Amino acid sequence: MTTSVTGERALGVLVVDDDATLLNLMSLVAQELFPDVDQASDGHEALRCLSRRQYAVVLSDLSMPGPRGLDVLRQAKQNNPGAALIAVTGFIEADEERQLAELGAVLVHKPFGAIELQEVLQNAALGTGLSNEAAVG
Amino acid sequence: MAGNSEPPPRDALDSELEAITAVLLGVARGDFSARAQRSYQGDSVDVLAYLVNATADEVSHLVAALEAERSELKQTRDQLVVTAKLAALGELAAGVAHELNQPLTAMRMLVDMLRMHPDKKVSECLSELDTMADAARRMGKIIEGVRSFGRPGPMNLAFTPPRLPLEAALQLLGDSLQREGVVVRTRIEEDLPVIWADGDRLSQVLLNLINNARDALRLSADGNPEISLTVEVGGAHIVYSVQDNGPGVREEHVQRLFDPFFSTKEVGEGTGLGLSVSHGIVKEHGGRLSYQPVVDGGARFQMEIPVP
Repeated sequence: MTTSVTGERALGVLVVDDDATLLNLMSLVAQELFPDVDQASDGHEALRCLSRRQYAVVLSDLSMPGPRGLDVLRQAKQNNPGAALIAVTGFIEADEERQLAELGAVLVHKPFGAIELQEVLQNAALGTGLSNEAAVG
Repeated sequence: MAGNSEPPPRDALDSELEAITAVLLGVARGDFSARAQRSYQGDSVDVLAYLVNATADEVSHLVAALEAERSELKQTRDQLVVTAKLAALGELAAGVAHELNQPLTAMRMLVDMLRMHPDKKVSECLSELDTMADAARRMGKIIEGVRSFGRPGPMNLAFTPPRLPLEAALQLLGDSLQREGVVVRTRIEEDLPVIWADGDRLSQVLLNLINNARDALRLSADGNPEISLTVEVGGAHIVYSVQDNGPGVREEHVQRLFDPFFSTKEVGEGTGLGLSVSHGIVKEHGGRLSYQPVVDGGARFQMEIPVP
């Protein structure tokens, strides 16, 4: 399945967290696997990114001021029903967990390590049409 | 009739009345052991002695019962302080978990990343190590906040800059309010005189008021939830106020706000202890905790602590 239609950018990966340190670290892990990683430092920025292009994988923190992670993931799914959604969180209410399950999002509990995140990203990318070129080249 | 019984001689009467007076004086001083000697003649002095003795008995029983009740109440109140503190800590759990998880996750990820490059020299990893050290410091500060908050024991009074209790409460809350979309405005007057206070307890009160404000804001549909926190001088007091733009307190609830176990929150949500314990803490400081409705909706709680 090919994703690059002429005139359209290939699908990318979006990483969202309002904590600057974690945003950087998660992006570094993603960049080791995928060539095209965008960063957003809050929900507003994430929604702006989503309005500009489509993503194959969206990795988002859940609790952020402004639009929350769940809003971001919902929008990502609407933009690209085939997108792989990953939520990272340290504390989740049952209701939020149910909504994530309905979206088909994978939940990763903090504190997680880089290796764990790498595995989750790799599994999530399978079947999204995203090639992990960075890892190859 | 009048001549039935001779009144006791003057000297005897004086000494009997003196004995009765002594019993009453004892009762007035809080000594309930003395009793007047009775003649059992049934005359008016004897009846008086009987009544005074009976009164001393009754008062001594009442006082003993009151004392027992008071010490029981004191014990219950001490327990309530602990319970309310634990409940407040429970409400903080989500915020604390989040605050600790951020730096902890950063550390775990950095450790993994360093492991992925085992050939790198330490000198090439300085920025990663700095980030880890920062994360550890951040966790230490959070834990210190929780520890001093949960510390039981007697009041720990000291000269305290009035901004400290509020800053400690805000430190514990982290950015959990902002994460819920609540705008927090803080105004602390400059050059405030120090107060004689237990900073941790005052911070417990403020945290409780802020938690209540947040709960109230969750109930309102208004899209611009806001909490204003101020510390300023008002007469001979330092005045802390916590104001929200939520629905306010219903008029029929205002009278009972500070009653123990009174709660308008759903069953299982509130203990009904927060405000009553807060009230007790502020009273122990010689201050006053009060509620004022806000004209265009919302609630305002004010804590006044005297300046020594």
